[in-house]
Amino acid sequence: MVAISKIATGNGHGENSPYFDGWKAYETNPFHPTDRPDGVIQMGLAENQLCFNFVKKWVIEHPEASLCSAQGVNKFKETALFQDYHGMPEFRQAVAKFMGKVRGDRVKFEPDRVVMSGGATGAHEMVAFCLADPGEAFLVPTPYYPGFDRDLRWRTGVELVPVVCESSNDFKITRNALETAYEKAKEANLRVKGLLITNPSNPLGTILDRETLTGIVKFINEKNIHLIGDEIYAATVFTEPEFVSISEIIEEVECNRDLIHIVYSLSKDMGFPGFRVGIVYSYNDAVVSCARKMSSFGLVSSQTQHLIASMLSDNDFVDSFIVESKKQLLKRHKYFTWSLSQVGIGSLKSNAGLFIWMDLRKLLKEKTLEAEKDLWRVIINEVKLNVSPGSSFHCNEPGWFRVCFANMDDHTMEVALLRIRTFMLKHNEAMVPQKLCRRSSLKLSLSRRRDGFMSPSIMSPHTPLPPSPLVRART
Amino acid sequence: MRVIVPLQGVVQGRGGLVLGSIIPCALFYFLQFYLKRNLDDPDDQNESNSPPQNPTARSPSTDQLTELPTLTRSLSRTLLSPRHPSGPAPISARVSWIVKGADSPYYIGLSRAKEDPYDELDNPNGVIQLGVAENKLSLDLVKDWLAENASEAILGSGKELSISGIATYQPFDGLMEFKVAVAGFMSQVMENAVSFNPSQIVLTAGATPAIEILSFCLADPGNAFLVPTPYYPGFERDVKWRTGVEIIHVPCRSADNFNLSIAALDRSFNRAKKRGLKVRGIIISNPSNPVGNLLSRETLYSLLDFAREKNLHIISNEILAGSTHGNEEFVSMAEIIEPEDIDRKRVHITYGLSKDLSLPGFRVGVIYSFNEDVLAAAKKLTRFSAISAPTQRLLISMLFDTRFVQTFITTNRERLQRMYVQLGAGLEKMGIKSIKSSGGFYCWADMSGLISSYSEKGEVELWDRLLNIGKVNVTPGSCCHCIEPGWFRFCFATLTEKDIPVVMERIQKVLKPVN
Repeated sequence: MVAISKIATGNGHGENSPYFDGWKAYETNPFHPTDRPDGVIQMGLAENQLCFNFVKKWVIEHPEASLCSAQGVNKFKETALFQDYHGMPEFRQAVAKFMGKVRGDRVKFEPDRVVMSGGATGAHEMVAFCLADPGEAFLVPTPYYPGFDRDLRWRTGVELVPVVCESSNDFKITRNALETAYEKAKEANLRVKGLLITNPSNPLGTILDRETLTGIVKFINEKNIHLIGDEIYAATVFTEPEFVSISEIIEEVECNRDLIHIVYSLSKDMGFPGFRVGIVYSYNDAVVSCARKMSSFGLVSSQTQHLIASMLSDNDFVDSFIVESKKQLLKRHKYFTWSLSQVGIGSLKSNAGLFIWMDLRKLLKEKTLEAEKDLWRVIINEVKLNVSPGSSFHCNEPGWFRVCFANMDDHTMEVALLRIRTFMLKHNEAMVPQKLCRRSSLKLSLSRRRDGFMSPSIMSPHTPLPPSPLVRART
Repeated sequence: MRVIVPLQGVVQGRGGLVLGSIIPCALFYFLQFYLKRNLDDPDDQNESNSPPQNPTARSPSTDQLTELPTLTRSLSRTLLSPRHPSGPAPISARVSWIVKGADSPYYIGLSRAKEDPYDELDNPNGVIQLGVAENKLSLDLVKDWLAENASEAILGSGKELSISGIATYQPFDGLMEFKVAVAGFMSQVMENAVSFNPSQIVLTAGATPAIEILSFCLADPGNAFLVPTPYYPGFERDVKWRTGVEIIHVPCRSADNFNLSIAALDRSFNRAKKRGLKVRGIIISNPSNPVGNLLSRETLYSLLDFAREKNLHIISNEILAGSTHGNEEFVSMAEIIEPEDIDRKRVHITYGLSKDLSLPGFRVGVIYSFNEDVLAAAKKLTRFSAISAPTQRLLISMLFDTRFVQTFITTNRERLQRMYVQLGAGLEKMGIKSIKSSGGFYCWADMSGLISSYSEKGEVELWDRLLNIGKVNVTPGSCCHCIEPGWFRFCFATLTEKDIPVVMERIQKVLKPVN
């Protein structure tokens, strides 16, 4: 029978990884408040649904931005025919301006360096095609987004070499870790072409401080390798410390700009993953030129370009959106982490992203990958929550889980927290007697918390978090 | 210096050792010098499609835009990657030969017409664009539909605007509703001769990624596809750029009206085999671009037999199926496949809304396959090229309006026919004959009698005079790898009827001196 290619038959798509098992469980039995109250709640999808009403209001008030309205239809013809891979100038200008605003207008982005792609997924693949040949490698700090294994490697033939980060120093990217990874690649005869960092981090939800970023820029300059900064979560930084972009660092530190590339998208910051707006912003002319031609494989629909151009050039809307989004994220994050802390679950201190990096190390029977997998299966099958195990992010320490909190409404959040509470109760009851004293204080705090849970409106961003003996401070 | 010893054997007689060591050294240095010169030449035209850039500091990387098409991977590493870290930042070898295409007449003509576009009133001396296979003739019909059905298009009938319905993650291979709508549209376009199954559809952001995805699924790097010439210049990008797959030309000739012959296919297949290339499939375009002819039912059956015999896939690019004009019957590959036919697993169709519905900007492409494994793999690959959700929602409403679709298809065909006849007649008056075609937006015209020399050079010279003196942009056959020089593609669907006499006048101006 007629054969198909290795790419088609191989596992490069990565869908056999445990990261996706949870999704499959969710898809077979998805939670619905009325139709399926016992279904699996999706907490493995980093989607931002907190500002939909805000956007909806703008769309309704600006019918001219949409082609299918009496006011907008006069733009239809030119939009329908527009397939220039440069992208609409208004679109590029609006995106460049938005990127600047998200960075507090501390840097300016040039519209001519904005290149479109099929979502950030397409952007990453495109950058890999432009910077590396099959068999060459990128360094990637762990833990990292599982999609990179597929997006950067599958069709490109490029390899990924992990830069191992440890929980002992909050997963910071150290010079040592970078050098070790670089040497390891050398030993394996892999030519390193670049370093890919995600800032703010997925799955950690933390941002890189100035010192680390400066160190990274120095490192890549010394080794003459590219730096790809995935800043897709840049506008989700909801509290101090302030986000620092690579684009700012290269103004302060001596750097060969041909090495610097930013991957961006509207999927997370604006909550528009369905629009498929991916952006490659490169300081390297050759890469811009090549990527632009390659963008033919993932051009943004001109209808979407038109809508986004209108939306993002409305300064008032953008300014208030950014503020509102941060507010909603902060509120949700605070409530969620506090609720977890009340049942003895800690997480890495974070100030960005649509998720938290939950610490369940103490729930593991032993410090192994198998134990993490077992715990995860329990969470999926008994607690009925799809969370993502740290191993799928290549975390070197078992027991960490990424839990997304921005893709659901308040009610679903409450149901999820209730399930977690119930599970922890059962777990604590099953634990050995020396933990009895903790359990009683746990019961006390629980009853107090119950009032808190029933009326979440009492919670506000300014409510101080009550101290709990079970909270392990995560600095 | 191991290379010296065997060469010593070649250089016998006087000064054997000296010449045996000097000659290879000299050759080596000349090679380095030649390659170094190419590396150092700045590439002037990175983006032939872009307007002139601001002369701000150009990055040193522009010097890396080289044209080294025959580079092997290992050699490219040496050339593009300096041994010491302080040299220019190395990028991939892929980049260098991708940029090569920027200099082709196809792109130069496009950018010239963009910079200086003809307008009857505002710019009567501008360049008239006949180089883009776009259809502007019936866009007004779509616009009118939108104006009347505006709110329903995004909101769905009677519903409130659901942001989550368009903003959130959707299946990368397209909404099921949209697949159903597209399947129905494809059937209508092909006059209901075939019924398309939505579950055999994978949607992509344009036909460009559809072709690329199929190339990735059906062939490994180093394999090849047979493609009849002349063919759509974009295949160079879609099939080859990132996949590492080769295209083997199957020449079609004017004596056969550029129809595909199985004998030519066979010859090309054997040629590829001799070169050590494994052929994985055949890519046909039906209706074809740039010629516009349709493949007969008989040819399609023969093609399937050939594919069966050589164990190959068939990709049938049917993106112009709805843009037929004239009386010839269009037959889709899907029509000749029996549901139980084991060879259906070889057959894959690509389609899109860019041509038949005049919506190239909206990026809607289709892979239709009878092979479940290919569908499964293609589905996963659409994550890199998924269609924007709001666009899907808008088009679902439009495509479900079957009455509108029928009116559109019929009216569009009439308008295409009218323009085709007028342009063809105008060219014929000047002694330029075109191939009788039944599909597409162009006349494939024979100007071989009017070129200075019967060669690609002569052809490009005429193209240049037409563009710069006549201010008319047409596509020379060499861009489409036509084996016979002197053929040109004239696209008529971006013109109005008033433009045709102007075009004829301009061409006449250019041809006079030659006559």
